[in-house]
Amino acid sequence: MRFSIYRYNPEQDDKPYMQDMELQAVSDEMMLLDALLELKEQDESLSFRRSCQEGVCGSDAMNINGRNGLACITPLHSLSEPVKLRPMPGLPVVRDLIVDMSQFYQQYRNIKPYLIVHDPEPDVERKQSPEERDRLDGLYECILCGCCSTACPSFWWNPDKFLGPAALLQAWRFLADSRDQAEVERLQELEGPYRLFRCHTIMNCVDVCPKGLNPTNAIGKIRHLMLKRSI
Amino acid sequence: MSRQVQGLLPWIWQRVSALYLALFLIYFVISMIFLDQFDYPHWLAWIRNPVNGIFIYIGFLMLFTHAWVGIKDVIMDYIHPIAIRSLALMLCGLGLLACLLWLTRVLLMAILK
Repeated sequence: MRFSIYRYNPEQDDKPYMQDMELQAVSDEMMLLDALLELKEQDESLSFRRSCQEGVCGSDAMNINGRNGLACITPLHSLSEPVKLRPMPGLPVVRDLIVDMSQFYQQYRNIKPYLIVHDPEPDVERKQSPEERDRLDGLYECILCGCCSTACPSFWWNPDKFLGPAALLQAWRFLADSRDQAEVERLQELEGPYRLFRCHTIMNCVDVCPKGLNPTNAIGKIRHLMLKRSI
Repeated sequence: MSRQVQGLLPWIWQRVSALYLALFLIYFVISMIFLDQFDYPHWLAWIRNPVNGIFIYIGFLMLFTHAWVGIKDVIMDYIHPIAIRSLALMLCGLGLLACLLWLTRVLLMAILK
């Protein structure tokens, strides 16, 4: 199987280039990450992140044949040759397929991804009804791989100002949480032309999310809550 | 300028104007289908009807509002230097305003003639 892989080592290379590589023994059960690990045996300098190898940690997110995804859960047989692998677009490249995700994490930090509670701490845990808990389904599963935000043109153009779909999905996750008591403050933080409203609902985020989540829907819900609050 | 004026309100106006334009388009097409005769005098008479005149004028106001929000979004996305962005916004704003004044003149002339 033929591969065309983005290579760039800022300490050695003047500019990035695509390197052709080939793998002889390929089986139907192999995932893209398995192939990458074998390719790394051919060329030790090939760099990429990986950890859990089962679509949970989100560290091996990359651009696969023009589409963001996780290498560990992408079956090799689903890919057309040559398999073009590039780092996720819109973020600075550290080396080869590894990107600097500082900006992405900063935007995640900006939405205060934790419960804010003003009431005194209860003696027992903060309880939720099953219905209240159900509202978090489709939100808490985000693994912060960055596939969605780096597929979003609004995030490419304004990564420092627009929060991006991943952070906005989490913003709604805490707005939707019955235990959180900072709805007004959270909504105020999201106001303005950039943080939330750079989203033009093109739904690239939904298209690429490896966990099947829907950030566009979450963004729509934030807007409607904002609208409800402003009336 | 408050952050809401720059964030939520343009988004609301974009939706409201799109909804109005969709409804107006349906009304316009139905009106044209049920026009007694599809010729210039009947068309002019339809436009001179004060109710239709108001609907048309509001329709164009909504169209310009929709266009302004859309073009502002495009400029904010792609043009980052403040001076060039301000110039682009000003030129687009003036262009839309000129169109609005021209439209007002056309409609008034059609009604008053």
